[in-house]
Amino acid sequence: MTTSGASTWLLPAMLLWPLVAALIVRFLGRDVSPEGKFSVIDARVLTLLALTLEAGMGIAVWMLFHSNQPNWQLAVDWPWIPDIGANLALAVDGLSVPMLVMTVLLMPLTLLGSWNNVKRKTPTYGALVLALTAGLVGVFVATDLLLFYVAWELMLVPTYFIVGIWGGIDRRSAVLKYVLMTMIGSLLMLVAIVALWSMGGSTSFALDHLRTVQLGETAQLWMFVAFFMAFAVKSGLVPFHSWMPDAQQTAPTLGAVTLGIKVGMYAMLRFAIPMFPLAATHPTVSRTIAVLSVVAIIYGALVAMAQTDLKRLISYSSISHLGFIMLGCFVLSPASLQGAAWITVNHGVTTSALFLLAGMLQDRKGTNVMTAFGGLARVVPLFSIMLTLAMLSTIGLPGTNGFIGEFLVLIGSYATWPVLTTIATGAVVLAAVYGLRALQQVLFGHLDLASNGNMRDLSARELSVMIVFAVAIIGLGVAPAGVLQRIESGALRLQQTLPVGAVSVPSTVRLANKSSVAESTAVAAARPTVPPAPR
Amino acid sequence: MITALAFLQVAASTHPLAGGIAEWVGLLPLLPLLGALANGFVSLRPRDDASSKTLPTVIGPGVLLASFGLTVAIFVQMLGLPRIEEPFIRNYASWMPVANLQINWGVQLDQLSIVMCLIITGVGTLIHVFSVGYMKKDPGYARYFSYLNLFVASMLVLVLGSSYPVLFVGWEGVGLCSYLLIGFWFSDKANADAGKKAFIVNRIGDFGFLIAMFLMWVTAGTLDFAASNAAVSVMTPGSPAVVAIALFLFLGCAGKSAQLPLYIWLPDAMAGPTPVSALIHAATMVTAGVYLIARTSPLFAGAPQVSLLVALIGALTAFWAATIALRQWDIKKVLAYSTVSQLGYMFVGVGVGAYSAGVFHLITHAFFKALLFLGAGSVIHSLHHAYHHTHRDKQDAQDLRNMGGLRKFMPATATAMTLATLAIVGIPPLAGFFSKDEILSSVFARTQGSMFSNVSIAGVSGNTVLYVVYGLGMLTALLTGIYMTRMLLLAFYGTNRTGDAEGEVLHEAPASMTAPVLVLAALTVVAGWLNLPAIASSWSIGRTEVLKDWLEPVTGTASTVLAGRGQLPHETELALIGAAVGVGLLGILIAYFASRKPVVAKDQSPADTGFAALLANAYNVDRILATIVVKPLNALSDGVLSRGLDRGINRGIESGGAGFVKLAGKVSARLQSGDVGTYAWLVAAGALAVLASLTMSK
Repeated sequence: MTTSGASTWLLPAMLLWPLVAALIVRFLGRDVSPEGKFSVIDARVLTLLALTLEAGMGIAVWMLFHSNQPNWQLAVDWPWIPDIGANLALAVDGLSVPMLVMTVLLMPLTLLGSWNNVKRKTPTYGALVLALTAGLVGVFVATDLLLFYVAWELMLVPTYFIVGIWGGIDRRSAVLKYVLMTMIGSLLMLVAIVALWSMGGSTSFALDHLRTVQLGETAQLWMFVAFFMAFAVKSGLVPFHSWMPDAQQTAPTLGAVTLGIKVGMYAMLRFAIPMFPLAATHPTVSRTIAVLSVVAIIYGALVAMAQTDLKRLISYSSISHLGFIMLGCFVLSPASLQGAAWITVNHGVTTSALFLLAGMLQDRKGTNVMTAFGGLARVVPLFSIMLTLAMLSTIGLPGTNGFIGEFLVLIGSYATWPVLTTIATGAVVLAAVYGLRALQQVLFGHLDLASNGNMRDLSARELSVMIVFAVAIIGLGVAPAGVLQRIESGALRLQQTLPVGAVSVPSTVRLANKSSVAESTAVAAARPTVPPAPR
Repeated sequence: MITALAFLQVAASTHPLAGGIAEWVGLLPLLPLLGALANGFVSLRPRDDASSKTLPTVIGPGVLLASFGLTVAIFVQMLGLPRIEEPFIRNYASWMPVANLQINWGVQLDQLSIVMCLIITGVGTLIHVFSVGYMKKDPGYARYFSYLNLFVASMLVLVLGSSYPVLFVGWEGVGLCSYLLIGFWFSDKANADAGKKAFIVNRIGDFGFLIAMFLMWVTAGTLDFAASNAAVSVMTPGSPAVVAIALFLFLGCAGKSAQLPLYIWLPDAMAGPTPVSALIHAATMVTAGVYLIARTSPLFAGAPQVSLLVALIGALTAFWAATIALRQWDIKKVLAYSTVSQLGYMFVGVGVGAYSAGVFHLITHAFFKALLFLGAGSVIHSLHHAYHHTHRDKQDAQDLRNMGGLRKFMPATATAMTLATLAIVGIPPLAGFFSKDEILSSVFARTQGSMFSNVSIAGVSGNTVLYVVYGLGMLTALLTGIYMTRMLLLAFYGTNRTGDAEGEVLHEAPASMTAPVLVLAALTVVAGWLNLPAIASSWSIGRTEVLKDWLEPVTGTASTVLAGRGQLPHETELALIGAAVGVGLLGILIAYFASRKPVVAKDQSPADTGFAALLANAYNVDRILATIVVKPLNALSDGVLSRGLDRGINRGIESGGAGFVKLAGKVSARLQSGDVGTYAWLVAAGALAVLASLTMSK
């Protein structure tokens, strides 16, 4: 594969530009002046411009990416710490491109949508946001494990400060819990990375190299557990979830949004499963994880039902959705894998929209306690439409992006885990309970507080941001094929790394045989050719 | 955009409908969808002027009329062709292409879907026109038409979708619109609660629908109706997979179509505007379950025990709801329980494999029940105005005790309502007589030598179950006669109880409201000719079994599989017809004699006791469910999990990491002192140390 032109510098630029921009914003950007005078080099404006440029590069990546080629693309591999074989190796494939592009588009939108959420120390804030962006980008594009680890930890530091400085009440204990829990997880991962590196001859941290290291099943299991813990804690898998509602409740809007990006689940698909295929497909492991996932789905939904704070409710619903991703990841059928990758991306869209809307409420009224509202639908119709739409996406209404992922995961998991999948499907009822309850308390009923009667509806700025989300929610729900196509090429790559027989592709065929319809022309007609295997 | 794109790719097809007007079938749902968007924009405009009423008045009913016109044009084309055996399928775009799971945005046009489209757009247009008058003064006028248009669009997707997932889009779409419209006057918490309840109970059904889809995919490897119907029809009848799919699918149908035990949302759904009750909660959405069973008839024919269960549940629902309707005072509640009861009949029909009879009753019911609701709407509208006029707004405009003798004030409405009542009771030659009779005689016919003889429910043989179903059907017919006549007499006959001052201002509804009612009245009279019983062939009153023949390519095979050789002798059939009519007349008589007792005003009437109280409170089902389901679930969610376990986990992690926290406390003290830089350096130094140690570990 030859690389030339834009494709050689695009990914490095995406990784480095936010770091450079962070310095610019920190030292050149102006804080919000007490008189509220507008300045061209207002730190927020500069940050927004920098993030927009980053988003533009993300779109370029999307356009340059060939979804019919299931391999690394736009790859660069520069020496970094030659002594230990660590390289600045960056590349994307079908799994990372949707995550990368979603994330870099999300950042400027979130900043713009929560413009007045942070109004002090904005140069520091902007710099931290940009550094966080670099961390997120690094996680999605790194193909060198050490680089990945550095990026992984790089996300932690800005988040710590963003929540710790601009958060609400109890922010310090919440963010400390977050940092400590994820650190314990990632230290385990670091140990595993180093161990793997030395087993692989201490020459390289390249993902493709470490994947070929011959490991016994036991070794794989141990290392898999280390990686799994890091990613599970970061994503908030029950029972390691407790940091998440606390942190997201108190975090400023942008912090809550970025904490909601499911980097852990992406890493699971990128690293934990393909590097330790024997462990990931081990019956005990996959059974345990399937049970854990379904517990998370139901548990998250049930606890969400009891929340009184809108942000906590969103957080628990996201904990519930994580279960769907996890279930899909480890069933490893084409539909469930693509569904899992789909939710990993689209959860970022829907949850971010919800956190932005919750943030808009908070900016107006200083609270997110749902009972403090009620009857808002008449006062702020645009806000109400957006909140309803985003909530319907969370509920998984067909026609929204939320449905696609849940449907694919569940239909792809059914053949493997019929009972567990049936229980998981029960969450559609629970999701309706907590989702509609939230809408009910905030939007419908009497206008409980007269002071809410003069609430401002979405401003032009907020509306334009929310329209992008609305278009994404419906557009991706109606026409998901473009994204699915890219995901498919990544999912195919992933499946090739798995031991033969572990992948439950032919499950439908197997069952169809049993029920004697395999010969039916109707069935044959309905099952077009599987896309050709790469290479 | 997708649709527009697809119109360009008119595929070379050998289907008889190809290349004709039917190619425009995608416009059917698209038009109301655009209407919904347009009305939505109008409703969001801050200006409140004349155009915010005129635009929705034109767009709302306009797009429906256009859709109806197109439907009629397609229907006429289908009529002109020789019998069409295969559905006309158009795939507009790929929706979810995932390996061998290829789901397309596809619509399918056949004899069943066009009939449904005619009902949806036809009755829909009438109800949209009625709404113009009914909602005239409502501040949410544009929003109302936006929702109503969106509902019709979803309903058309539901009946046109060529696969389970596409149907499911419409299925959930109508649920959403129902939710929005029940809670239309959301400032009243009770209305919003009713909407929520409808959505959640429907979701329980949707759970069944989803599982049925997964099972179908695993079993047949396809989710298209054509392919999956073909696949299940070659499988062994009664095989576990087919039975399971049918059972779960029926759970979905029971939710949407308000069958036991999931009927509980429909009576509450009356919180919405009355035209909504007419369109969504009587004529169209609630019949989606009946449609779905007819659509997947080969599946249900392959699972005769499930079909039998469908019939039994239908009969039980019909009877159960009819008893509750006996003791309701709210005119809409009577009609709501009546709808549940009539839906039960439809399920009996499709359950025993008389698919055309079930669809026939769906059609006639759409006419007379829409009429009843619209008529009730006119009455409520009129009473509401009268009470508003006399400043007694607290009076209940829906309570039958406040009505009486309305015939004098609203003659046209009264006549139409009387016709519809006779129709639902089953008096010939009105539409309801033919459709109900068709169902009941089908049940009776199946008791001999049908597929059901081979199956049983809980050890009771299929034939016995069918006799029970028939008996319940006849009992329900009697009850229907009683409660409907009671309602009619209480509302329109006898002396007026609205109030003397109010009597001065009670008036007939405006023409835009009475016209749709009268059209429906005409349909109520003539719709029976759609499907005259075979026995009528000797009476030379028209062609018999038109609808049955029309639907033959869709449901005929499945119907024959289930029905077997069961054919009633003419004498028996005549006797059955006589019995059914007799029962209905008996009901009318009972209600008539019972009505001679004077009606006591609402605030003076003594509380019901004993069984009457049980009926008036709808068997306390809501209260029982609140105690055994809602409260425990909330306790689990809030008390056990949220406050208990979740907090416990949180504490455990906090105290488990006490050492860490203590350490962190020191660090955070630094942070609190404002010395952010120090901490940043610490972290950076730590990271460097890790890097350095790694570098040197070589």
